[in-house]
Amino acid sequence: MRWTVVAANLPYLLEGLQGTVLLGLLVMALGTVLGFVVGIARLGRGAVYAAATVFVELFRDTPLIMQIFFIFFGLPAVGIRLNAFVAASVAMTFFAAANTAEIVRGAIQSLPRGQWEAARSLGLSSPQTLRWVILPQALRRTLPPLMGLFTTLLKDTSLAAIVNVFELTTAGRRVVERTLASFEIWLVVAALYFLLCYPLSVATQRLERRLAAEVP
Amino acid sequence: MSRIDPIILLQGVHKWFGRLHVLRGIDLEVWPGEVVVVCGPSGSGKSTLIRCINRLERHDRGRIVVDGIELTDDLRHVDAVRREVGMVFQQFNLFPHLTVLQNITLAPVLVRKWPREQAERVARELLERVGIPEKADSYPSQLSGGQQQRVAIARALAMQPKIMLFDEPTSALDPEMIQEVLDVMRDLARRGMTMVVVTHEMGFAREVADRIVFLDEGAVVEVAPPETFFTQPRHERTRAFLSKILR
Amino acid sequence: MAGPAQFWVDALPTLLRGALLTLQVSALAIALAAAVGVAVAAARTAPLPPLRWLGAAYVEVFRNTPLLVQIFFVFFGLPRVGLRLSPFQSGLLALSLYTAAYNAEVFRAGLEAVPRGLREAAAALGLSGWQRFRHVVLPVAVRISLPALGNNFVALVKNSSLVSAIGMVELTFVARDLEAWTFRSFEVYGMATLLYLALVLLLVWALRNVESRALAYLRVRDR
Ligand SMILES: Nc1ncnc2c1ncn2[C@@H]1O[C@H](COP(=O)(O)OP(=O)(O)OP(=O)(O)O)[C@@H](O)[C@H]1O
Ligand SMILES: [Mg+2]
Repeated sequence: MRWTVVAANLPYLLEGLQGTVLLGLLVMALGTVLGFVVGIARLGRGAVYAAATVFVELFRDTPLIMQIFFIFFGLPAVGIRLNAFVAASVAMTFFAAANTAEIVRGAIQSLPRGQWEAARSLGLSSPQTLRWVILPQALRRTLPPLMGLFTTLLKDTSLAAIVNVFELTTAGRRVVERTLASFEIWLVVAALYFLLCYPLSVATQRLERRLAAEVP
Repeated sequence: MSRIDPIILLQGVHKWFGRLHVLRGIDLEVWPGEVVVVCGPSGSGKSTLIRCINRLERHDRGRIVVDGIELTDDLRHVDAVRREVGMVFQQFNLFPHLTVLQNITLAPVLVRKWPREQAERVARELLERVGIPEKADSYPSQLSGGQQQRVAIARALAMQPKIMLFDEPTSALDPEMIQEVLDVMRDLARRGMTMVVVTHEMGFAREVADRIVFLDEGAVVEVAPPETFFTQPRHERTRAFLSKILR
Repeated sequence: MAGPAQFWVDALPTLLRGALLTLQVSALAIALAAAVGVAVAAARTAPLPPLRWLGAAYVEVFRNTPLLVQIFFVFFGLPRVGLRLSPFQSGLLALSLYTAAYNAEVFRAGLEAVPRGLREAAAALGLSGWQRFRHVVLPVAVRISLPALGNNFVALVKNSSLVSAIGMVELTFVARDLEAWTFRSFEVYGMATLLYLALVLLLVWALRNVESRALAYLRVRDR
């Protein structure tokens, strides 16, 4: 074992970690916003519902890596050329949005039908019902699964390494290629991811428990 | 004297859930200020019937006219009717994330566009009327079932409806809380509110109802004033139902 | 360059072979991940505290690090401590261990959701501890777990694509290879995506059948 290699390359790995965090935050923010829009669209009818459903199924039922390839290598064929970072971000944002949309839809549909009926029978319009009655309640229920999704997204940023975006896994691979200390470096890379994800997991579980206790 | 129009008119109303024929040609007129109690066995279509009146359910055939507005697929008509018709549910359906006061003021502010102060003043008056002024800032989960149902009634009344629909408002309540809700409803009837009430509280029906409608298998079997209904029911099925329920 | 028809005649069989390998590695990993998952869940709910800690540590480690890094660790890292595995073996191992952590959580929730009354009834009937677990608790827990377990299996099929990164010639690898040769990236990735979709939908369909059979006792007869 050559643990000195780890010490020597730790700053470089931490740089990679920065890339991971940056990509993760970007994808979480954009994915959440888009996901809420798509999730609400799935409550609609006709073309809106169909488009939202196709979007959700397509990005949830196929591997993220395929989505990245498709956007990075495939879209240039139709004249859309994105650099690796943008391509990975776009693919992951869509992936995040599709999963967020399911969370949002699930939370909304988990509310008793009587909430809609009571609001509608008071004369509130559908958008008013959504805005004042449904979303405030659904929002709480989306929080734990959303945080769970964030952990998944943080881990999945590692896939950006496959198109050579600079983040932790890419940094790890480059160090391994240079030093051949594969066991040590991959172990440390895993540990760094763990340090990032574990607190988020714990926080998610805490929140889950707290909300479960609070809900009347 | 000018002819009065019924405030609710149902003509040949049919409703299917898939292949299940739930309403089979309902004809009913409700006059302004009248209290109509609807009763009948479980599954006979009582809920479906009154939910058609504010179009929580869509009827498939026939006409429904409420306060001069015919219920069609035209959403403006639906919204207009819902503004004039209040509804109270078996399960209360209070909004758990809002306080009692917020529950009551929500619709007047959003739909009637009242200023908040006016909405709150009216809400507090209504809470006074249903006997729980001190609960304004509580959340629904902090109230007993009877109190929740009284809030639900106040919430519907805040929109100043011309008609109130009640779907088994006391069925989810513990026995000792039933009276407090019925008292509020009695008071409402005395003030001249038009009411359609689905209930099995036959004491209430006898005392408050102008007419009782007996529904069975999606059809109106018998309509009569309480004294006739209870003492000389004309139909065998009504008699069978009454003998089961009045024991 | 060949015309579009000729292109598909050449490409499709290759992609299908890749899909077949994806199917193989997924099927094996599903079985392994279920078995390991039950074991870890049992450890997590064991009466012995060290066993519980071990189970919990397993779950947290495998769930809070990326699968791709786990795959790299197994394939590139383990040979340095004398364990040399083929890409297929490495992929299968990592995929199974990773999914097992998620399965363990699902099983644990399932075990905890088994009504107390059932255990008590089984005990009152004189069943031994193992008999209670084997014939009453486990069957009920598995049924409770089925829907969530299905989600994990669907995720597994998608995750199997990562094994391409260490050179296992499954669907994703084949697609990249084809693309590199033909430059028809749009068609190749589009078709590969559709094949994944087909695999996933196939699995979902199969799971639904299993579920509806296993949960038949829950269906209430129509009034
Ligand atoms: N949304 C629905 N979809 C399908 N069938 C329904 C639906 N709502 C009600 N039904 C069916 O329609 C019939 C009438 O239901 P309804 O709720 O109107 O009866 P009810 O007289 O109110 O009964 P209860 O006294 O039990 O409340 C029942 O057979 C019921 O199962
Ligand atoms: Mg009913």
